[in-house]
Amino acid sequence: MTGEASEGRAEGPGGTLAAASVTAASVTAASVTAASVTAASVTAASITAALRTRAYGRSLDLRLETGSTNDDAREAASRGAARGHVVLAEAQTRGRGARGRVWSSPRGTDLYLSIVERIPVEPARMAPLTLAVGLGLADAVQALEPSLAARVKWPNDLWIDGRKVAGVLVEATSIGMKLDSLVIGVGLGVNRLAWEPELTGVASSMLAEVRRAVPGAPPYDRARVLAAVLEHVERWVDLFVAEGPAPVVASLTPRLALLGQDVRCDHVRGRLLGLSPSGALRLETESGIEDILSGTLRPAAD
Amino acid sequence: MEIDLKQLRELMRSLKQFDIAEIEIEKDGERIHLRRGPEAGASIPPSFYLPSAVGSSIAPPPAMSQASEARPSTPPPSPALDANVVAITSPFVGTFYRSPSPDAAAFADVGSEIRVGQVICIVEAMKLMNEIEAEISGTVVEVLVENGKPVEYGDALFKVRKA
Repeated sequence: MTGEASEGRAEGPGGTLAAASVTAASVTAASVTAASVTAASVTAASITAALRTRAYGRSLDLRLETGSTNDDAREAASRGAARGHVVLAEAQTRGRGARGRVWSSPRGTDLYLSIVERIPVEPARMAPLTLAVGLGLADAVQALEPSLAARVKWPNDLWIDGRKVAGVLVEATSIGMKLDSLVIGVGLGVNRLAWEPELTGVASSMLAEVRRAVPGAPPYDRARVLAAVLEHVERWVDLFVAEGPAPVVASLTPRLALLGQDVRCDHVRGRLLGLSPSGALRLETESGIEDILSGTLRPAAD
Repeated sequence: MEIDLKQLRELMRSLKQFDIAEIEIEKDGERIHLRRGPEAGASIPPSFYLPSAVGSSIAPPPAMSQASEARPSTPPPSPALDANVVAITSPFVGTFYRSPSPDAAAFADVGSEIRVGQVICIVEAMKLMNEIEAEISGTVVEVLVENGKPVEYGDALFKVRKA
């Protein structure tokens, strides 16, 4: 990123990523010296200063580069990491989306993070968690930049003006009818301004979207963005655990991307009516109303 | 005893899920007796009868057909009823995936040796990927659901011969 503007804000008194990391195991590239870490690095000190959460991010593992933060968080969970433990990476070499798709994860501009969850929800009732996370992301973006209309493209993407700014990948393991581990993965485009050809016009970032209206808008301090993401995601996950999907569904429905439009979800075509009480996608099809649990939602024309 | 169709269906599902061949419930002198699976190699549907002591206006055959209609994705019971062969069931409603990505190898196939805690499939709903871990060690003898098909809570996914 070209982030001179955020230099002072991002660089906390604790110094660079290498110097300020919380856990000894967190610095994966030991040879990276303080001097080689860019001024835009997110530091533990700057994150902690901005945090307003109860559990999320209170335990932090900052990595310069990793394969996948979801893998790291799952490993941490299996070693007994606390609820809310966060793995954050400056870059991912094997960042992934759903069903093995690649999540483009260049260094230093965006946020790639995974949260260890330990919610007391049985697997059968767990699926709408993805929606709670998406709603938290939408609220975080809106809180940081009220001019951006962030919408959730059911079930796990965040769209601004039809472009994908964030994705959620929740990975659980269960044994028998019991939840074993649960990791919430988030990739959020923050300051990125250029994409691979196949993502150009499809993917975007908060900064790219803001600059459509305000060309000189400064880059965001990613520590503050992270703090907002953790705050709002934690709030919605807590509410989902306490009250089930109802408040999530109520708040999310008017903020669904493609609401009221002709869409298709895999082989089902119809008009997007909203969500079922359990968070399933509700379409009005030629043969009546259909609630859909799985699939990729697209505009009908795509 | 009042016959509750829903309970009866649950009971029939349970027989299948847990590979129980026969169950008899007696209450206040009235009896429900359910028996499933082919006997001595014969391919007959699960048997179902109510002793004449039970007064019921519900005819058994419709009950059976409703139960089977409700579970279109479940294949017929395997021919061998073996106490060592147990089913691994889905804790989750969603789409069943046998591999981590479309071009990756299946987590487990017929003949695979699996151990406790090993991931054997994914059930996905709302892009929440739930990896199902084996509760038992043994050998997969049957994969009961096709890749990419919907599964219900409690559906049997694999049959495993315990080690």
